[in-house]
Amino acid sequence: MTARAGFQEALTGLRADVDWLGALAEEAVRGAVGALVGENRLKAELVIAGDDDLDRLFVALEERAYGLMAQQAPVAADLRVLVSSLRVIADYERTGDLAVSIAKLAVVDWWRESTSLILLGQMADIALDLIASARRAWQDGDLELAAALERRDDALDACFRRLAAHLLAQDGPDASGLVFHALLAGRHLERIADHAVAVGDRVVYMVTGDPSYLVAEIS
Amino acid sequence: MDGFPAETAPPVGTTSASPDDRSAPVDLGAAVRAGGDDARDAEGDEVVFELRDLGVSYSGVPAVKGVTLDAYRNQITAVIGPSGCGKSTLVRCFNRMNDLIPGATVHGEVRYEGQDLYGAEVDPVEVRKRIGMVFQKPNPFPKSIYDNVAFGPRTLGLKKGLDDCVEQSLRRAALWDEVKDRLKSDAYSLSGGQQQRLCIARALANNPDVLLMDEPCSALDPISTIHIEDLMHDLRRQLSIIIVTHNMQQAARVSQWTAFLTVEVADDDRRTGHLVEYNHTEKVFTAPSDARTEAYVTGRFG
Repeated sequence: MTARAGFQEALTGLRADVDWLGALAEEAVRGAVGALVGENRLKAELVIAGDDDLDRLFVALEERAYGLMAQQAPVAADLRVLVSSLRVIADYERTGDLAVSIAKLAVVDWWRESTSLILLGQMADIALDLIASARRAWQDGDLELAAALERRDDALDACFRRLAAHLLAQDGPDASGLVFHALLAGRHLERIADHAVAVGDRVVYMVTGDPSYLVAEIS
Repeated sequence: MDGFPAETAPPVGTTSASPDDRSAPVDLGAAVRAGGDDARDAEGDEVVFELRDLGVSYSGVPAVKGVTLDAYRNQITAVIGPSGCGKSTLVRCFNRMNDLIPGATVHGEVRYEGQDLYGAEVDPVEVRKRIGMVFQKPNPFPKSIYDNVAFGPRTLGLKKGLDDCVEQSLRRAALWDEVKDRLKSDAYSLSGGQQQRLCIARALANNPDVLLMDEPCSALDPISTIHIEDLMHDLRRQLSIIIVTHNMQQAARVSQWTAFLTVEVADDDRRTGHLVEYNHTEKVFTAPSDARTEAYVTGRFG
């Protein structure tokens, strides 16, 4: 029998449920972007309403992590799993909030200029890919995948710069609404990707204990 | 340094970790938290003990071998490891207590303040005066509280100022307020936790530079354990402490450095302890370098 089997089971369960929160956040982003690009109000409202579930799960996971800390006095790898879980659920919760912000942009009338939507769609594809990779890295403790996220985020940042340049070149009566809403959506997607990169850094710290990844996460 | 030969030979070998090895993030953390414990830790870079390839055999059978580490002034160094890994054997080398065990032989080098502790001219009694010891089970003498504390100084010929010495020792052991009105009472009338603090006061009465503690709380209840841990926290301002403990949380709470020993079982079933990892306690309990340490501190082994 494995030593401290009950505690190990609880940690494994917590880690799986952290990923469940990640899945909810990923779905929220997918739904919000779909609502924005497809001008689908119903989809947007589902994302906004669904954030309550995400928040409830976030609080439940936080309480579970505190309970395990209080009762099991974790150290070393166990401690790193718990503290990393607390940080990662915060990243996913914030990702959910940003998806709601994008969904709110989807229910507002503004000029859906085609190039801007294409660029936002490209940003969304990269952001969703980063979230999926961050989740896989978390599930498997995949260091290579986790460490590569930051580099892959550069493509999204480049896309955001192209979107900003394109928007600033717009004029006409509807331009101000377009610039305001599309820039906000782009900014939200850029932040969503940053949270995915932070999850990757947290995975590296969790697996290796290398404190430089704590610095990487906030820099 | 009365009673110690004046050797000045530099230490040999290298340690598995020293303050110089501290990585940048740890230093950064210490700087950020300056003013707390870590501010004092900066003063703890001065080496008190240097162990080099230290081993102990009983009747020719090695119990511990190959231990190389430095212990630092005003720091608490915890020694942890599974039963039979030689923790107590190791800590007894620090004040030559193994000399008293028939058949025990010490190999390698123990340098205290730069001097060979096992040098021919070194007086073991003087060593034990400088390097006091507290044991697992409180072991007061069948005497009064006062006489227990006064025992060492009296033996060393102190007559004047004995009352002051007893009071100061009891104060340093955080016991004075509880016993000041009954100093003539039998030491056995004290609770287990108080008896252990009395034993610490008795050790402190000799004004040691180092206190060795061999599982000092294993026979105590949680409140008495907290008293002893608080006491250790205060005492390390004045002296260096080396503690053997089975309680990993205690090692994590009280110490600045942790040594993890484990047991190697040979083909002929002989069991020998050896040092696996020695590092800052924070490092050992958050990101140990060796998988065996990880398995032990997380409770998956031992």
